Formats: sequence, structure tokens, C-alpha cells
Amino acid sequence: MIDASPTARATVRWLARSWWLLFPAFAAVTLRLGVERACADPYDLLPAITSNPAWAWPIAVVYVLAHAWVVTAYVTTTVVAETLRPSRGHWRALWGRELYLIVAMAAALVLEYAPIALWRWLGAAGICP
Amino acid sequence: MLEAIDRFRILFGARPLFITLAILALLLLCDRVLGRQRGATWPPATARILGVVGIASLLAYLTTLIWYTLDQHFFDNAEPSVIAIGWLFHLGQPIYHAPESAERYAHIYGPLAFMIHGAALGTLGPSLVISKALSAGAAAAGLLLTFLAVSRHGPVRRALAFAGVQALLLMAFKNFSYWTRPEPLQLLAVAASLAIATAGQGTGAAIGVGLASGVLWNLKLTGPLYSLPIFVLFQRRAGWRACIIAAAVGSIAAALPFVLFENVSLANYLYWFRLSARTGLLLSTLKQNLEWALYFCVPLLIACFATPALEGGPARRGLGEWRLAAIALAAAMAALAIPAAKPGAGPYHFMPFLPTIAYLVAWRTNAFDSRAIVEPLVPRAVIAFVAAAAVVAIAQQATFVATMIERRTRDEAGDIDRFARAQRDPVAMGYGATEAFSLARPLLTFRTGRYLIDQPAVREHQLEGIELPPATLDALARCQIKYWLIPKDEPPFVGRNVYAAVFFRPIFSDAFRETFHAAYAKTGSTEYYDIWQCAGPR
Repeated sequence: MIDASPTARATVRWLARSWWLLFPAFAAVTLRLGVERACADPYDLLPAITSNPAWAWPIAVVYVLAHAWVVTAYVTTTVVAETLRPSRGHWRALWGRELYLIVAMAAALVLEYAPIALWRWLGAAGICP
Repeated sequence: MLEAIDRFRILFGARPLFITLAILALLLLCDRVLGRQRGATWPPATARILGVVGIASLLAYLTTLIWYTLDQHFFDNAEPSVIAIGWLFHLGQPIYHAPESAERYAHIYGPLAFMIHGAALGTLGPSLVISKALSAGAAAAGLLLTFLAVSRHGPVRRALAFAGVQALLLMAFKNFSYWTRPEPLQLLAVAASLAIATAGQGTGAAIGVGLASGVLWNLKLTGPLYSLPIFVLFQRRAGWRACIIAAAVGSIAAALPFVLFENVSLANYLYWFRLSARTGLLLSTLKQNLEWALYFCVPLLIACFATPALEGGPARRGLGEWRLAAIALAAAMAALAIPAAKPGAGPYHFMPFLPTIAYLVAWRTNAFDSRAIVEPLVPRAVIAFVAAAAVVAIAQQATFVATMIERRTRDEAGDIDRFARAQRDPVAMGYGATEAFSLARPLLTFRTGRYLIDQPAVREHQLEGIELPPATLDALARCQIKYWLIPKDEPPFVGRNVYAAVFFRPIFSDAFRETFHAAYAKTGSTEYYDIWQCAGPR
């Protein structure tokens, strides 16, 4: 067990709660963008939706907040673990049973940052509707 | 070679965090192969490398800045727009024309972005070099003020290295930090408010912070985001009263141009701004913005681990304040990522955060001791961060310098001057299929005091769903301009809109071109331009 400050514990609690709001929306955006990269113009994503501010801004807010969520989780863990490269033990000790939240969010980010070539290959392999 | 660099720039120029992580992985792999231990002191070469890179970057930055300033050519197509509109302001003409007016040059920058250039041109005489020198001076002064703020937290040699790394990061954005658009003024305003906020405490300091912030807020509506961490620092140092005075002075200063000058219309500014707000966002740009924002946060994270924060030690003092300012900075960067994803914007909007980042890193590492035990990842991360900045900066500068060397072989300014001097009737710069030859257009505005069509503005307006109004076509038909200079051998007004959202549509409508061809005929050529003369008003 690592010695986490009350602030760190509160941050983890807050992140765990906000995950339930943020992750489903971010996962949906990520999947939709993945399909777009695979099946349409990978450099002009969802043009019809993002050219309308009423859609574009909420999507952008979800996108930015998901990144902020992951960064906050990482920084909190590094500060508590006192290392830039926290071990699996550090993550487990701070996050306990909530570790899957980080794994899921990180997985969504990995999907989002997957090379375009991979999406194009998937598109060519027939995932497009 | 240049082609390879350009390919690299296109592929990785917007991926600084990716490059940092790749270099870091490589360094860690080397460590593993060489069997280095955990818990080492700083490698003695790290400070030396940083010092050398810093000084070299400063020299390179100042050299390119002076080289660019002393030449009449521009790199970017909206640079001349700011100068031309600045001159119009000096002559008493509106900065933001009415929506239905024949003139098409309204941009959404705040009025000071044009007024400052107008004032300089009015005082020192209309010249492209004066405007370029103003921007270059602002960028250099911003760097100097950052250096002064940083030097309060360590020896001069270290402050020089910090200023150098900031110059290196600015070079990763080609000439954007000293072009004639608002960014150099933003950099200066941020650095000035930071320098005052971290040095003074009294009412004088509050007024100083307020005035610098007012300029910043006026230049772009996103200005308050750059001020957020500075106000947090100022509040902790000087208290709420000083902070409120600064905010009040800033708000008044930002609003003053709209109140004091009849040719600065708030209603028209809001009209053009509201239109611009309708253009939506580009998700690919948002992703780039976030990568740059995260990259700029790397030094803050490294700073937390670069110095052991011993109880009662200098790195411990003010830690709460530092954390609060760092959180405010990160929040402001996250918030800015969204408006900076509008078409035509991008990661260069993060440049004005650099003085604050440099200051916070210098403050957090003021107890730096190269003999202290740190985890090996920390110095490796420093090297990876700086190496990534160098790689991106070299790629971007290669493109910028190669473009400018090519442009400097021509003398459009002399050509325009020779032709315009021989005419008594108004001459204006028109546009062809390309844009580079139209960049010297303020020279004609200086001479005639007219600026009917600014192509970058028309392009923006088209993106916002506004086509050229009947008044513009009427001005064309009535030969308000006697001669149009069109880049040689190019058909007039056939450029296409580069914004993806308007599907590469022609910038000028068929009706506009038909009106032009009905009113004007090609009557000759100069060295670089075809002369289209009014064939008689209809």
C-alpha cells in the first residue's frame, strides 16, 4: 500500500466518478472516428457534423476532457509514487479495484492514436458498411 | 535533402510528443543495453548540452528574425492584410467594414492587432519593413522579458538556456512568432504581464499587469486564457485586491479602442466574430492541438521530478502556489485546444503560453543541483524533449528558409513601385491562381489609401457562408480601381478556397469574374504582373 495524500485520494475518487460520464461518450466518439478513418477521408473527420458548432463543440469538449482525465490520472499516480514511471504495483495500490477504468480509457486512447494506415487496412479488409 | 526534410515535416512536424516518446524509448533502450543503474545523478553532459542548445537556438532565432525583417517579402498570406488594414486605420477608415460594404477585408482579430501597426506606420512612414520590425521587436522583447522573469529563479547562464529553449520551441512554428499577425504582440503582452506580476505587488504592479493583459485580451478573444495562470500567480503574490484592480484595468484597456475610435466599430466586430464562430471545428486539428499542449506540459512534469523537494528546501517553498499556477496553466491550455481547432487555426495558438511555462519550470527547479540523485528517466526526458523540439524546429525552419530564399530572388516591390508611380489613377493588387505574388499588396494601399479586396478575408467569409455582396461587384463594374495587377500569366481571380469545409470552391464567384472581364481588359505587363485596365465603366 502506498502513502497517498488526501488530495490524491480525492482526485482518484473524482476521476472514478467522472469516468462513468466521460468514457461512454469518448468511446463512442473514438469508434465513430475510427470508422471515419477506415472508410472516409481520414484527414477531414466527420465534416458534416463538425462544421456545425452545436455538434462540434460538445464532441470537442468530450475529446479534450478524456485526454485531461488520462493526464490527471497519470500525474496523480506519478506524484504519489514519486516516479515518472510508476510500476504496476503503484497503479494497483492507488487505484485498487478501479484500475479497470484507467485500462479502458487508455484502450480508447490507443484506438484513437492508432496509425491511419491500420484504419485504412481495416477499411480495405471490409469493415466499412 | 530538402525534399526529405519536407516529407518528414509533413509526417511528423505536428507530432512533437510522439517524437519525444520515441527518443525517450531509444534512450531507455540504450540504458538497458549498457546496464545503467536506477537512481543516478544528472549526467554531467546534460547541463552543458542544454546550455549549448540554448545559446545556439537563441542565435539562430535572432538571425532568422533579423533576416526575415529586413526583407520586403512575406511568408504568410495574411501578414500583408494586417499591415494594409493598419494603414487604413491610420487614414481614418474602418478596421471592420459593414457587412454590405464593397470593401472585403474584415478579419476577426481584435482592433489593436491593426491599430498598433497603423500607429507605427503613421509615425515612421508607410513601409513593409517598419511593420515587420515592429513584430520582430515585440517577439524579441517578449523573449527578453521572459529571460528577466526566469533569471529571478537562478543564475544568468541557466536563464539564457531557458530563453534559448523557448526560442527553439518558437522556431518549431516557422516565423509565426515574429510575423505581422497578432502572435508577436501576444507573446510580448504575456511576457510583460508575467514579468510585472512576478516582480511587483502594489497598485502600480496591478495597473501594469492590467494594461498588458488588456492588450492581450483585445488582440484575440482567447486572450484571457493566456492570462489565467499569470493572474493566479499575481493573486497569490499580491492578493485579491490587486488582482481585481488588474482585471478591471485590463477590461477597460481591452474595450477602450472601441470607445475612443469612431473607425473601430464594436457592432461590426461582433458581426464578423459571430459569423466566424459558426464555422465549426476540425477534429484533426484538435488532435494536433492536444498533442502540442501535452508536449508543452512535459517540462512542467519533468520539473516536478528534477529537484528533490526536501522539507524546508527552496524547492518546497511556494509549492502550493506553483501547483495552483501549473493547474491553471494546464486548464487554460486544455480550454484553448478547442477554439484553436477552428479552420485556419492550429497549435501555434499555444505559443503565448511559453513564457509562463518557462517561468514555472525555472521556479520549480530553482534548487537544481546536478549532484542530486534523480531517477535516470528525468535527464533522459529532458534530452528527449529538447531533441524533439530541435528536430521539429529544423524541419520547419528548412521549409521556411527555403521558401524565403526563393522569394528573395524577386523584386515585386520595385516592380509595383515603378508601375504605380507612373499612374495617377488608383491601382490595386488582384489575385490569380497562386498567392505568393500578391503578398506585396500593402505597397499599393500605402499609395492609394484603398483596399477593396483582401483574398484571405474573402476566403474566411466564404467559409462563414458569406459571398461577395452586390456592392463589390458594382465597385468593380464602375471601375473604382483603374488598374488591377494580376500575377503574370495567371487568369484573374481564379483561386480556390483551401478550407476543406467549402470543398475547394472558387473563392470568387462566376458573377464576379464575369463583371471583372466585362469591365477590364489586359493592356500590358510588368516584370511580374499583367496589367488589367478599366475598359470604361458600365
